[in-house]
Amino acid sequence: MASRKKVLLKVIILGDSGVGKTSLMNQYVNKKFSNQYKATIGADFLTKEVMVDDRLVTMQIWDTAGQERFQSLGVAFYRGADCCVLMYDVNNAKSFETLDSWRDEFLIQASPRDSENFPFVVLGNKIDLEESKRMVSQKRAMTWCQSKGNTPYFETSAKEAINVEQAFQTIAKNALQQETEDILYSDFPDPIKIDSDANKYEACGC
Amino acid sequence: MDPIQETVKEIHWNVLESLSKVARFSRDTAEPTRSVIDEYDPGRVYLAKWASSINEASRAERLEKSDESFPGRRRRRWSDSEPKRWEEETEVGTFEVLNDELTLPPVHAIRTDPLNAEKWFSFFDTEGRLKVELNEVREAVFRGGIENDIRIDVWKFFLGVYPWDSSRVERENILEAKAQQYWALKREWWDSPEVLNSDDFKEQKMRIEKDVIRTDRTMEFFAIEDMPHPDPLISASSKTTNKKLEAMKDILMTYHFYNKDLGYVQGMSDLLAPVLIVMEDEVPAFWAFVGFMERMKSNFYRDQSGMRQQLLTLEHLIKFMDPPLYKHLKNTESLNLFFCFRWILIWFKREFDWEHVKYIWEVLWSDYLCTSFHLFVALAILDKHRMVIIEYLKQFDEILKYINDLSNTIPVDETLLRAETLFHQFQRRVEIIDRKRSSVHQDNQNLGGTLRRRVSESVARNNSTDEGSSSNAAVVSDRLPVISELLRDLLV
Repeated sequence: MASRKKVLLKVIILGDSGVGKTSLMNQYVNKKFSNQYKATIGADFLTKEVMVDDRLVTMQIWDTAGQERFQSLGVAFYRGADCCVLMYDVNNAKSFETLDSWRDEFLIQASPRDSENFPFVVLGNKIDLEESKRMVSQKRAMTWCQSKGNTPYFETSAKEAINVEQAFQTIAKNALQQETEDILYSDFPDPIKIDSDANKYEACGC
Repeated sequence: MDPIQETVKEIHWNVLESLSKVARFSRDTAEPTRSVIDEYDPGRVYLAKWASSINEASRAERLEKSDESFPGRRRRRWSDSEPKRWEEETEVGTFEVLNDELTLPPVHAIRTDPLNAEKWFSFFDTEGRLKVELNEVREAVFRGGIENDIRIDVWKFFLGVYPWDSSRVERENILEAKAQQYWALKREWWDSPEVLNSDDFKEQKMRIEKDVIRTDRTMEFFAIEDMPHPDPLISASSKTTNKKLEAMKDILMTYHFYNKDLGYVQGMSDLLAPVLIVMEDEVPAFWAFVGFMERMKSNFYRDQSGMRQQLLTLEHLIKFMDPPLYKHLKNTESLNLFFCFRWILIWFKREFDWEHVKYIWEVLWSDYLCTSFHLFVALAILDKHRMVIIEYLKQFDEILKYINDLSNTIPVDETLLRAETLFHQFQRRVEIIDRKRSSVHQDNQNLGGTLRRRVSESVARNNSTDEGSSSNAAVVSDRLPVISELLRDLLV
């Protein structure tokens, strides 16, 4: 049954302010880039239907505010996530160093069932800028990812659409796996509740 | 409405209705798993938007007809001739309240033309001192906003750059002193290599830089790039800049030295941009921003207490004014009202276009009806979309998406009219409930304690609603809606 139902994959993008979360999401979903995106306030999301392993799934990609002051809002948005994307700017060392705290914060607030194996994907963005500006080497990033249980790592450019598709394919794949496991492990809700809801619709005659 | 149009509209509705039935049918039959009820459905948001647009079309038509008696572009009225069915929520026992409300004349809200130069200058005597009641100025601004050419003057009063009771000469002196004070503050970082090289400064600077270069860049005065960036080390994406952008950075940085506890927080650049453009120069813009931040700073507190309190007040307001909507939000686990977060944090800056943002802010600064009118504006937007939200949106994320996408579609005057009407309704409801409660209390005191208890117990047991008998006073009192302190504060 699980394989036949329509799947919604919830993906959260986290990372410091200005690393390109909104741009990445828009490049992936709308194939557009603008350097005039305003700082995200609160949260928003876009959806996209994609094929993963011959299955049509809907990805719901959440874009959140990057300033740490707004992290406490996270709990409302992180719940039920199937994959978390940790994003930094390869030209900004600080944005890389905060990945640890974004990861920890996510695990605390989302409290996934199996936090050891929860799927993260790390993205180093803005590789379109000149090499001399680069502050975080690929090696350094990969070492960190390895230390976090071999987290997949991609270097991207939301501006030039480099590696965006590939990254999201992996994100979708890992999210789907997580979602499938969640369904296997979770208790199904009482079916009677659903039926009674459906009956209510019928009864009100609307 | 002509018959053809009517038919077309009916078909629209039928299609819409059957579509929603189809959607429901497929949900009920084909997908009997948890995702059916639990998960986000983009289709429902789409359907909700469609329903809303059709509602809007038919409403606009009705308005057009009823507005014929009020010529003039902005002279519009709104009346509460269709009060919401309050009695739906039995647990709040509002049955009698509603009856009381219906016997009162309907509330009328009015919008007028903006305050113009002629009228504005007529408020002052020859020495430039305000000669009318401040409330008169407040009302004028509340009802129509301010014409653009005098904003530079009027905003300085509303944003506390100088006091209302000052004379022209006094104001000149105040401005001069404030200029000195500003440059002194700015020198604290501008002239200090020690500060400029500190980590804290560098971090603040980077934050500010990042946000300023993406604040309202579509507006002409921020879009131009006609000067080289003062810092050659800055990232390649912002090699050129302009005077306004640089002024914005300096003001935000100086504000950090003015209010060290707060620091720069995202959203502040949104608040500063219109203030800077209206004030034209860095010094008055800084002080006007300081005045604005006096009202707004709690939005940016580290512990988010200011935002939490306002969202909670809005929650109480919805519960009090619109129990069915409250119930729906509760059922969809949406009572955190996070979809109103952006509205409140930066006062609808992202919801309206540039001109309307200035207009709505001055209406809010006027404090004419109350000091938290922005919450009534929020309630008004929700109120307008309540049917669509209740009927179509079954998840927190569906509501969030729908609300986020309202940005730049919200009619400003209509929203303000609705907000004013809701404020008056709120005020009236509070009065009626207070009156009722105190009369019930009086009745109660006329009865003996034991008797009262016995009667109210028997009333509760029999579930009797024996109207007219003063003996069920305690029960009646218990069933009246509770007016929280947060709600009472709205009347200040």
